[in-house]
Amino acid sequence: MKEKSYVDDIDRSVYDIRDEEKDAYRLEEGLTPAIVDKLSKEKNDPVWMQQFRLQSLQIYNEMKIPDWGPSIEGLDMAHIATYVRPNTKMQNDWKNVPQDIKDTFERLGIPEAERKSLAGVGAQYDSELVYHNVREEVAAQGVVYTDMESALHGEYADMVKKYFMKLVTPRDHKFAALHGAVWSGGSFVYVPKGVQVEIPLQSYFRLNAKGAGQFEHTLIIVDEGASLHFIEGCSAPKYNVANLHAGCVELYVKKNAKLRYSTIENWSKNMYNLNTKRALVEENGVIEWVSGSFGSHVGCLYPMSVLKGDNARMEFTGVTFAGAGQNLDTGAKVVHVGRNTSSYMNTRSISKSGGISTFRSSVVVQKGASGAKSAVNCQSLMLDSISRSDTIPAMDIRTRDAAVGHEAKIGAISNEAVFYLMSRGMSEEDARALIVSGFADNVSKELPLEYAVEMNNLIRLEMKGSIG
Amino acid sequence: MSKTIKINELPVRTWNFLGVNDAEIAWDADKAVDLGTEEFASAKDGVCHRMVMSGKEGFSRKDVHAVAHAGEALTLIQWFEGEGHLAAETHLTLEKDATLRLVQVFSANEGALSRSKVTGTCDENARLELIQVMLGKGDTYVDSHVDLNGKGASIQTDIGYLAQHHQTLDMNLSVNHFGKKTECSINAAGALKDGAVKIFRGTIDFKQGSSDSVGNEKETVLMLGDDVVNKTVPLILCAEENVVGNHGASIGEMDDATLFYFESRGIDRATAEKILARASVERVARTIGDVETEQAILNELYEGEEHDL
Amino acid sequence: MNHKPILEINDLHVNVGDEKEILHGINLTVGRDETHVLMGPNGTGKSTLGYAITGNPNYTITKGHILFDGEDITDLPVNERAKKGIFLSFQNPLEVPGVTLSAFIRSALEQKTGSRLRLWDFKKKLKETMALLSMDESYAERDLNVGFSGGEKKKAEILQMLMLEPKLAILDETDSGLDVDAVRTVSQGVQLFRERTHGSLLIITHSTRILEALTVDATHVMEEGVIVRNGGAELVDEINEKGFGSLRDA
Repeated sequence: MKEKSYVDDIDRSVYDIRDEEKDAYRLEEGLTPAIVDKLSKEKNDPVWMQQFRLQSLQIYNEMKIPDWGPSIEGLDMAHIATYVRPNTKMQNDWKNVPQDIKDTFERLGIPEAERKSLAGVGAQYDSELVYHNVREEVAAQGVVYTDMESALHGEYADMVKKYFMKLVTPRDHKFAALHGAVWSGGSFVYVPKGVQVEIPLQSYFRLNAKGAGQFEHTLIIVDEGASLHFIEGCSAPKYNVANLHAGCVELYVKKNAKLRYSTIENWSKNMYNLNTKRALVEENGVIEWVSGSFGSHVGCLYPMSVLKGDNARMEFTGVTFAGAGQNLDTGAKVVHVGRNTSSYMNTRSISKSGGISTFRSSVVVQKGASGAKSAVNCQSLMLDSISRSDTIPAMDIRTRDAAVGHEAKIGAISNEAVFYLMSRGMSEEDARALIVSGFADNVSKELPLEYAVEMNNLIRLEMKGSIG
Repeated sequence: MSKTIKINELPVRTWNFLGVNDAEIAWDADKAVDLGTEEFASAKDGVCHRMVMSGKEGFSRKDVHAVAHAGEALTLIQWFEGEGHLAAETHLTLEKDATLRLVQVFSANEGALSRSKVTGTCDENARLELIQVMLGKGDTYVDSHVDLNGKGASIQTDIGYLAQHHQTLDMNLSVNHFGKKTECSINAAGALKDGAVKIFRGTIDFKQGSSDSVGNEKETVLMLGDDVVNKTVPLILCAEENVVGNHGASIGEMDDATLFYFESRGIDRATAEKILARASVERVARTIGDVETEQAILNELYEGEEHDL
Repeated sequence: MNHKPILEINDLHVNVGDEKEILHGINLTVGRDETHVLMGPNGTGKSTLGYAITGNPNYTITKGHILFDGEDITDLPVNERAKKGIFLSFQNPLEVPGVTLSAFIRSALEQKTGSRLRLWDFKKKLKETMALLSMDESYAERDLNVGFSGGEKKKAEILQMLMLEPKLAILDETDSGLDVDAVRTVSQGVQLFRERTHGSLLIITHSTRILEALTVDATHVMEEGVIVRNGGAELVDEINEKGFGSLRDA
């Protein structure tokens, strides 16, 4: 049995408490080779990484900003501090984490969740991990869960070098190049062959510093026949200047392996969330993405799955809620390469109070991917007439023996449903909130109970004051 | 060096790697022969005009203006044929309560290129029926934009194609719902074989103020070869709360239920595929409501084969 | 060869997909020029048997044999069985946009005979047969089953049967969901099939309305994937009166 929720009630203020930047080390704003070089030295990079950063910076400078998607004009890289190091070394005991930072994570419920329902936790504060720990019994199975910096120098250094930004290369797009240049923090996970990690690992990313960027790198390798559920959470207090998140997630799912990657994204509404996530799935492997996008001012997030091996599968379940001042462009991409591969996307978007939500997808079935099956189902809910909801799917099919289906629906809350609930004594606000929660239950059903509760609280919070 | 231009632009761009944001074709507007403008108008009891749209050698262009006056009806049938590269622009104006049916049949010769741009505006309760049939010859680019301005205006689009012989069939259709209670129905179906490349971009755009409008779009693609390319880009853009938009697409080879039904009647797979390859064109041909045109389409479709109606 | 029964099923075990066994050893023989009725409650496997005889690839025969006209057809593909003279009237006939009813029947006939049909002869026969089924002529040039009512779909199935003249026709719930008039028309069509071609019938039904005008030679009752009782026409009346429950003790 799962534990009852530890997040009993939630209010926005929990996310919005800012800490003072006490004694933190902050690299000057902007982006030059000198700054990148300094960052590299600060982080004690191996030589190859130092070069990789400089090459990435060069690519970043060469590449254009994408000519599609939401405008990111409000983002001025000259005013983003790419590196802010908290005044602490990484700890494996919360007692040793500085009090203010510890308090922040306590408010977010992380240490409690770790005690109750997680196999391991990583907590990043601005640019560096402040806490990383994995349960003994999980470590005893040979599971490696550590911060990227330790991984770069430790026993798994060669593995990191082999896989780092090979799936998402700096040439992928401008912000992937930026990530390559200034990445810091994030987690490295290796699950050895045949090991089933029964309870989830979680990394939590907190961006506290004003006008800063967070560029964590997550690299997960689930070896043959192994399985893992990884949860990612993120939040930040709100400032009146732009913050940037350009993380990168690379997932390698080997033969017969299974990985579920769940995210509840709740960045503050001054955040530009330009994140890149990708999975490479080998024969019989399974990648499952569960994604809830609630925060950010502008978000571009399209986890991509490359189904390389025969019989590889992907499932994407997502919900996006765009409220006032938000432009959230989310969706997924899949490339069918192997034979008899299958993909399934099931998404919901909600637009309210002038928010813009866009569902964007790409389904590519390459020549030779015979027997490929793909089904996309996206539904959008418009809660008023000052918001926007766009659906922009694309399919590129080059195999005769493929079965590709796509269904999209857009509409409003049914007045009959509201009336029905109100006739049973519910207020209109509660009725509408309940209907919206129900609309998003494709995702909440897939999350561990605690996270589902948190998500529904976020929806309730967004729906507050939506009447009159 | 031949000049190229970009046409058939998607109303909202997406990833460039997909190659669906627009189509780039060789076109030299300076050298295009102007074939002039033709004008057509409706009649009280309805009237049907047939036009042959045939390009001259090289590049040529032609304009058509058609007006359906209040309460009147007009059918305009355009048959694209010939050797040349023809760009036709057809501007449709539908007044209150008018009905206009535009039928376009694309049957140019191999190596020819047909471009059709259709723009339309529909006033209150006006109804536009757009029927497009692609018979699998010559590269074909169609770009249609319709504004449903008046309350209760509607459009029904039926597209049927057989894409073959390494031809490119590039379609871009967008319907803008401005008026209240406007309706749009888009139905595109076809079959791809022999290295054909087909793109269909279909956009339903609910503008602010288009409350109580409905848009439905359906696309069915039958894949009959491993050397074909199908791209499907169905957009629903929405800035209005009380609307209903639906899109469905189904792409693949013949499904098991259909195959079983045919086989249970003794029809083998190869024959069933042959029948279904033409089915989308035949279905749309029958909606034209003009026997002569329907017959001509079937003659083209079964060219060189014995076929009795 | 003619003395052999048209259909002989021995110890047939059938799975749906690769998983669940639906039929657990069916034995059934249908003679030439005979009308058999297969009855039983819903979900007992009657339609599965119809599909197995027709050769639906979703149903896997794990054991046993089906002989048609004395020949083992257990492994024969669907269309080859159809060409030999097996016909299934579908419970839910498929809609095929763009292919007219007329063109469909003609293709099927041409596959069977291996040669082009003379259009005039075909049209004439189609028109006559449609008239017998009180079908409006316009249906011939309409897309197969698209926008047909439930009754018209079933009539279109019977029309195909009359045109294709199979040696064995399996009618799967052809009478279900039809009003009284439609059942009468369908029933007349079935009667005509028997009189004209002397083809055999296996009628799957759980009502008896369609049987009223027919002479039933044998009745089989299926429950949970096995045939629990065989009898003559009188068995239909017995079920009518007492329901299926009474049969379990018999």
